[in-house]
Parts: sequence; C-alpha cells; structure tokens
Amino acid sequence: MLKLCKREKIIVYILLVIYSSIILIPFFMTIMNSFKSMREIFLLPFSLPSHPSFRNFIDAWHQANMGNAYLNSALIAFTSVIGTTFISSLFAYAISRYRFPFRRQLYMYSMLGLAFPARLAIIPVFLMMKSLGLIDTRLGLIIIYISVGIPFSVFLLKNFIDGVPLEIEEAARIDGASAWMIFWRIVLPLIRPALAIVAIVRFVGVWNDFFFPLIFINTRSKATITLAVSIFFGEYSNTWNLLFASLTLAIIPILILFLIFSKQFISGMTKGAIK
Amino acid sequence: MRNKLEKIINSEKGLAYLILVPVTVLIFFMAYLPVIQSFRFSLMYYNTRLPWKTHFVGLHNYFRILSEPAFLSAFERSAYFVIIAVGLILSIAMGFALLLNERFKGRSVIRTLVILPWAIPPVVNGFMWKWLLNGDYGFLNGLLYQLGFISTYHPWLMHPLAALNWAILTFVWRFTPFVTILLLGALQSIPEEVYDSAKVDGANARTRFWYITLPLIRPMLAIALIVIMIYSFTVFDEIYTLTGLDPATKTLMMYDYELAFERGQFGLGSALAYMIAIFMFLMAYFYIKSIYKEVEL
Repeated sequence: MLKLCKREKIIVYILLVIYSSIILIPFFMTIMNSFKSMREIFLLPFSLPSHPSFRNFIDAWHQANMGNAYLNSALIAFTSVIGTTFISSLFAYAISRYRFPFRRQLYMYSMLGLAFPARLAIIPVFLMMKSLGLIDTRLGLIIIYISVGIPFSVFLLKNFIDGVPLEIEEAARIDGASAWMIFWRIVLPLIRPALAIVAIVRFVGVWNDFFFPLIFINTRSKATITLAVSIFFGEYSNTWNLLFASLTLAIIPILILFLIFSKQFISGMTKGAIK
Repeated sequence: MRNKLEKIINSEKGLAYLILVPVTVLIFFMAYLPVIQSFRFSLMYYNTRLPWKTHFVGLHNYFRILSEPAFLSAFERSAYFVIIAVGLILSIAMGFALLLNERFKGRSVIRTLVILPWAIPPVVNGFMWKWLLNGDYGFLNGLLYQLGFISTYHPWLMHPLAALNWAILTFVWRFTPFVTILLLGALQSIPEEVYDSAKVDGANARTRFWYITLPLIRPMLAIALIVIMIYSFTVFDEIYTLTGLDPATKTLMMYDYELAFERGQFGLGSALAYMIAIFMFLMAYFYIKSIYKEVEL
C-alpha cells in the first residue's frame, strides 16, 4: 500500500467512480435497451424504458432458438470444464508427487503445448476433426476445449499441489489407503481452491468462446449461445431490440455465476493460487 | 473389467500410467501434431475449393504472402493494435491495481465489479460497442451531442484509423480487468513493513512506487505483458462483431481467417499462421531474455 494522505484519497475515489462507470454504463445500456422498442432505442437512447416489456426476450428467444443454444452451451461448458479439471488435476498430481524418469521433460512438454495458440493451428485441427467426423458436433468442440484447457490448468494445479505438505498423504499410505483413494479422498479436497479457479476460468473461456463454434458448427440446432446471439446480425440485420435482449440473455448465466463465485475467484487469484 | 480398472488405479504405477499416457497422446494430437501439420500445409498449394490441385510448392506461400500489400498493411495494423493495447492495458491496470490495493469503503464491491467485463462473451462486448459507437443513433453520439461537444452525429466506425482505435478500446475494456487482478495479486504479496520503513525514511508515494513497488512486481509485469501480447495479437471475436471483415480493422488474425475460411486457401493460411506464431514467439523470447539480463545485473 502506498499510504496516501487525505487529498490523495479523494482523487482515488474520483478515479474509482470514473472507472466503475466506464465499466457499468455499457452493461446498463444493454440491459435497458433490451426492454425498449426499436423506436425507443433510436429516439430516446438515454431514457429508461417507458413501457418495459419482455416482448423482446420472447421474440429473441424464439427467433434465435435461445433455449436450445443455452442447452448446447451448458452441455459443452460443463462437460469440458469437468473433463479439463479432472484430467489436469490427476496429471498435475502424478507430475508433482510421483517419481519417474523424464518427469520434468513431461511437464515441459505439456506446458509447451500452450506456446502455439490454438487459434493459429486451427486448419490442421479442423481437418483432423473432419476426418474423424467430428465437424458440426458438440463432441468435437468438447474435445477441443478439454485439450486447450489442459496446459494452463496443469500449470496452476501442479504449483498448488507442490505447496501441499506431504505428511497427510504419507499417513494415509501407512494406513493402507490405495493410490486412487489418496488422490480422490485426500488430495482433491485439499486443492479445492485451485480447482475452483481452474473451473471458473475454463467455464468463462468455453461459455464465451465464439471462434471455435463459428468454424466448427454449421447446424442451427447445435449453435452455442455466442453463435445464437450473432444471428441477429446479418440475417435479421438491424433488429437492435432483439439483439440487446439476446445479449442480456447471454450474459445472465455468467453474471449469476460471477456474483456467486467472484469473491472466491478474486481471493484465489490474488492470494497464491497463481504464483 | 471393473475389477481390472480398480486394480490399476489402486497402485501408484497403474494410476500414473493411466493418466500420463493418454494425456501425453492427447497433447500430441491437439497441440504438437497441428503445429507440424501447419508447417506441412504451409509448404503446399492447398485450396479447399480445388483439392485435386494440391501439390508441394516449397516456400512459395511464404514469399507470396510477404510480397502481398494486404499482408504488410495487416501487419502494420496488428503491430499498432498490440503496441497501443499493451500500453493502455498495462498502465490502466497498474493504476487501478494500486488503487484497489488501498484500504477504502466498498473495496470488495468494486473489486467484484471491476472484473465483470472479463467475464462476458467478447461477442457481446463487440455488439455492445457497435451500438455505443453507431453513427446514426449510438450512445456516444447522443451523449456528446447532448453535452454540446459535437453538432452533428459522427460515424465513429467509418474512418479507417478510428475504427481500428475503437476496436482496440473495445478489447482494452474487456481485458484490463483481468490484468488488474493479476497485478493486484502481485501487489498484495508485498509485505507492508517494506512501505512502512520506506515512509519512515521519508520516501514519498511516488518514490515508494518507483523504488519498491515496481521492482518487486516486475516478474508479474512480465507475465502480464506476454499475456496481453498473445491475446491482443489473436483478437478475433470483437473485431468480427464490431466491423466484420472490414479492411480497416483487418489485423493478421482477421486476414488469416479470411484467407483460410472465406477463401479456402489452407496453404496460404497455414503459412501466415506460422509466421504470426513465430513472430509472437520471438517477441516473448526476447522480452523474457531482456528481463533476465536486467535481473542478473
């Protein structure tokens, strides 16, 4: 802390108010506009909705098939988050605790997978998925998201497991607990804060992604939420009121998730989970 | 079958093999093989619309892209994008991380609020700003008009450089919070006693920042810088929703998408992707190296 004097503190407050409003205004406008008619959005951009109605939400829901998109996004996000978290934690645990030849090299190998951004290697991934018949399938996206998430998650979890004292595991081993039991019953509960961070970061990453669905999904019924939102541009171009309603619908789950977990997330991010 | 699996996972060796082997294979197929394949494709004439014409052309694709004026201007836009984005994000995030590290009322509320833009889909972000900046009825025009700063509505996204600048700001708006939290974490790891003793020695806030805070958080600054560089180099969603494939905002990433998926030029697209990746790798490498040099001195 810089230990500021009173006058400096007032400046700090003013800056924080400005920053918060720059962050809040776009959200506020988006949500307000989703309750307005097209006419109102154009003519009275600053006023509150005069006849707030859920009409836009209902129309957007039907036209963009949002219910379906929600289900697709939820299915893809949950499966890939659970997959990444489980695989990465077991992998990180083995790397951190077991002693075997090429252990360090294997860790480097899994980290270096991150060096070449997945978006740039999209052409061969696309062709590989095509030859496996996984284009235009949710499973294809899930496999991609699981693998994309592994390096970051392993990195974070391995560091965290390294910091967990060995004694508890050794005591359990002496008591005759099997390797699986030690991992499942002792290690996983101990690294819960790090697991929460991995899960949140990956969930946000997958739920928000637009690039991979844009390239891999062609069928409307398999569209994710980000694809569904983009339908209001182009095909129904300029239906701003519906676009805003769909934007609001797309951010609601993330907002709820965030309000529940943000404290845990921020304290995890700032207190040692990432070091 | 069930018993067999149980037997495997109950021994350390079995459990280790069960996870290490499949993950190693998965990473190979999803990360290493694509890199190798990209290189192979980059040496071929490969157009998805003329698949029968696919043949080896050596480094021709690279030379062709390097001599293309569209590449040079896309490169300029990307470099500009990255430099401005890194500068803005690092300085804003640094400033607000410092503020959020102070003790004040409502700190935890603001901390939660500040991270929000990072959590929303970039596509939503792009559309939001598309309206805020709309030339006929957007928010920014309305606001500036009401306040008397402009007398006519201004089409913000029409002028090429302005469009690129707004694309950068849209990205900065979303990405700054994440970096702020990273830096805040680094700030919190500095023990308070260090500041106290500096204050006793008569160092003012600015001196304390330059001589205590900055050196101590340098490793995190380096990580933040590389993260911002990588993400700003590969921004896609925001530009796609904000201006689409408009030439004004055609960065290397957009150009690559257009080559590969709009025109079906997988060979050229792979060559370009390779060049982008190598370029990013070199930037990160030299930066890390220069930092380590400084630390050693």
